[in-house]
Amino acid sequence: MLDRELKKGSAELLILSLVEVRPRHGYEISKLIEARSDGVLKFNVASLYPLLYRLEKRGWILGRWVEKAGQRRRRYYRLTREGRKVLAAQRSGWEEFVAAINRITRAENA
Amino acid sequence: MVDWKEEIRHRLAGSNIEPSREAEIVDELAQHLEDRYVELPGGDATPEEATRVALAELSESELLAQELRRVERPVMQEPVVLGTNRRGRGKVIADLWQDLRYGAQMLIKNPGFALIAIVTLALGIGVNTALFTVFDAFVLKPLPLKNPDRITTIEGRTREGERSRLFSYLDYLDYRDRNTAFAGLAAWNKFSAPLGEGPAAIDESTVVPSNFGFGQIVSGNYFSVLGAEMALVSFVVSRRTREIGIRLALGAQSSDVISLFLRQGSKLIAIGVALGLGGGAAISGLLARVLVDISQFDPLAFFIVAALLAGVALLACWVPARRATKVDPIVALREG
Repeated sequence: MLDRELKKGSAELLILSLVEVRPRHGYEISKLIEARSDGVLKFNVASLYPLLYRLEKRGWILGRWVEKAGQRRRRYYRLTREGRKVLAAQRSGWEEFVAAINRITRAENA
Repeated sequence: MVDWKEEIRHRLAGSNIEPSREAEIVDELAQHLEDRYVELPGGDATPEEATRVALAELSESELLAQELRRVERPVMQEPVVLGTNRRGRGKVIADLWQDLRYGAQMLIKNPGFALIAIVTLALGIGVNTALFTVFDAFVLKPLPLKNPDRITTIEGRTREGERSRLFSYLDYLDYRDRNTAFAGLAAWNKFSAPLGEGPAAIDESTVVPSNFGFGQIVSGNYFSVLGAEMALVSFVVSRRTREIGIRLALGAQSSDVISLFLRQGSKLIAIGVALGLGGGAAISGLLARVLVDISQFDPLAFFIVAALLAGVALLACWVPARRATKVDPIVALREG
């Protein structure tokens, strides 16, 4: 499990990325994070939903109640136009950051 | 199966989120737990295990409530009316605790305002206490007699039908000895006499000779009947009782005495109210700097306060004055 602060800093990016292509509901997002990180990252209710609401408050994502046939209604979040810009900026920022860290740590190991 | 919503609601208690929003959040989180419960790996988990796993999602629920509170900017800014049962029990206590904490924080943040508020309250409570003490002593407390509510006077009527309180001593003795209605019967009468030999000095305002004395003759059982047991009936009246007695003895009407006291009192009241309003203006001037929306001179507030204060003060003059006029002049003079 990653350090809490690190997780917090990158969590916004994770969520924005996951709703980029299509709207998803909270449980789906948490499952995807866990599955795609091979269990390294885990979000439970207490950490995931406050974050979703915060992003929604900022206008980066938008939640809608959707009722599909044969299912209970769920809240689906999609990326807004503003969210798309933020995602792009955060993504490049993150890549720069990771690259920088990699350069440093590799230099030490070499 | 566990009622997820109940579990979530329980954990959100006290987070103070606006109710309709809270209901929505509860809905969404409950759906999440339900999904978790249904989709457990392998499908070979017992229901108890599944429940445990789903509820584990709610671990760190303190964090959940706290984070939600931060995100949702709860309705905290709106004043919470004490006693309104917004939702469920426990909520009231949580609200109260929050209000208290909030209030304490505000006071610490604005020590100047806190000081002014505390001093204002202290003054208000102090003045009220003082006034009530006076009111209590003069109006509420019975006279310091054994059974003040069972004491009465007997009147006769003349042939012409006029009321009279005068009885001859022999009549009194008859009444006393044949009385079956009362525990005892006492008699009194007034008398007056010049005291000393000097020339009668005339007090400029009262035209009462200062060396003129008044007294009361009472029957031997007077104190025992009243239940005052040799202690002079201590009427709770101001030091000026004696003066009032003299005025009454000389034929002043009760209304004259009362209006005299009110006139004298009103001067003091005028000064007091002027000082008070000056102080009030100063205080609200300070308040206006600390608080929004307070003008230094709110005419309505000042008028009401002035009228109220003057009314109470006049009452404080009128009550003892009126009581004093009820005192028998002789008794009054004896005390003087």
